[in-house]
Amino acid sequence: MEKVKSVCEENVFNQVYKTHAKALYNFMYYKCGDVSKAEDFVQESYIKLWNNCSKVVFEKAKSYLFTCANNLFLNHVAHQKIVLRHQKAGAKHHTNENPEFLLEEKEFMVKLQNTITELPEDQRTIFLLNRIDKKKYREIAEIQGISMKTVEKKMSLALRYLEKKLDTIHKV
Amino acid sequence: METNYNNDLFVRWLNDDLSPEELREFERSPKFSLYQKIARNSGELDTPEFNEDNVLNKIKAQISTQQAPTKVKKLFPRFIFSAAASVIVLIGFFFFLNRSTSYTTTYGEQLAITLPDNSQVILNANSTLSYKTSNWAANRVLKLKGEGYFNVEKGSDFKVETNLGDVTVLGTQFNVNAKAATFEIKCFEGKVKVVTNKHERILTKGKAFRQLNDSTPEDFNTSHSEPSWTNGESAFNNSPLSQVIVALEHQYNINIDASKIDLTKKITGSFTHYNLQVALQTVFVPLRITPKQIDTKTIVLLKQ
Repeated sequence: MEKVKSVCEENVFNQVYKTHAKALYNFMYYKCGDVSKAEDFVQESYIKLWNNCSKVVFEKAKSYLFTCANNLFLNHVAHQKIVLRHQKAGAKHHTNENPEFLLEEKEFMVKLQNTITELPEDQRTIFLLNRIDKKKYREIAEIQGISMKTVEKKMSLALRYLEKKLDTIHKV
Repeated sequence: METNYNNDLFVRWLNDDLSPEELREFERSPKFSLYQKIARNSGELDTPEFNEDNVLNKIKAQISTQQAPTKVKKLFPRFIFSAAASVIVLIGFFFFLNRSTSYTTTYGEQLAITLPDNSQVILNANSTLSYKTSNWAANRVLKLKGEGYFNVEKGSDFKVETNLGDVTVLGTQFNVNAKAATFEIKCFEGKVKVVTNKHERILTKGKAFRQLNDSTPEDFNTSHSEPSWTNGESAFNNSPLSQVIVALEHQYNINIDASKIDLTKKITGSFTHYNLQVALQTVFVPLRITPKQIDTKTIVLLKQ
């Protein structure tokens, strides 16, 4: 029989950290676009988890962390204007493409980044969680504490906006 | 409508939710290449570097500094509250069990009392009667100071305690007079057991017992069926004058100065409760004593 994992045990806590820290960091980053703030939120959430380790069962640790971070975000920077700076992945897929295509591609990327930045915070977070962290809508709903219908609705709005904005440049 | 439909497919495509047919349809849509591009390029976006170990160390450092949460020592340990509560409950219980009811009459007043078992008590003037209400049926004990007439219902032992002795009922009707120095019991029906420090008597119907101060007790008969005082007059049968004077004092709330006369004289007779002058005349004139009223409260007795 498997022993019930307690978050109060250090190795379990480390395991929880390894599993969720990056995702939590990204989540926070998508929300506020501020590297150091995102890091602070991650830090604070884990400290809260540790302080309440006896009350949070292992299985609930993840949702506890995300709820915590979300609340911290809402408390601190709820209505701040923010700028996202996304970096292009290092991997080069198109080394064989011609320069014109590469330029076009680069242009598109810049436009995409800017458009994502223009999205409202909630739509942007959902979109990026799906695209970058490859999370399913169900999981996003769980993390955000909202219904899956809402996630789909917001995703739909985000995609419509992106489509409208990027379609013109695509045609040009 | 077309765009809405495509948008819906787009949303579900990104979640890998499309059926094969829907997927084929989606791929045929004119903007598929744009969708593809958005999806691919956004997926290639990178998030800033997250220094996992560094942050973990920071967390650990913070946790260790705030370690050992200050233990809150309770000002009053919890058991003290429970102890206090039980003490209160015990005290409450004690009071509840020892609750007693008390009746008092003042000068010239009479009081008819019905006890929980329907026994009747008539309390004469200036007397006090008290008893415990709890468990009355099994424990019929009364404390009496003064004079009372008891008509007792059948049941367990019925006991009247006075400072001068105890009376236990074996039958039903009796009078107890335990004023100051007088202890006089008259049995009107049934049987009564009288116990004083030195003596013990069982009185049957019509018998009476009297002890004044520490003198030798007296046994005598009574012909009445109930004490005369319950009918508005006090009767005496060969009683010493001192007892009659005490009765007068209690009845009319007066002080009688009898220093100048002989108190050992025996009297048989009665006085009314309704008129002091008449009462004084009936008691003292036959004895050739003149009651002289000094003021409303004081009367001096003088020899004629």
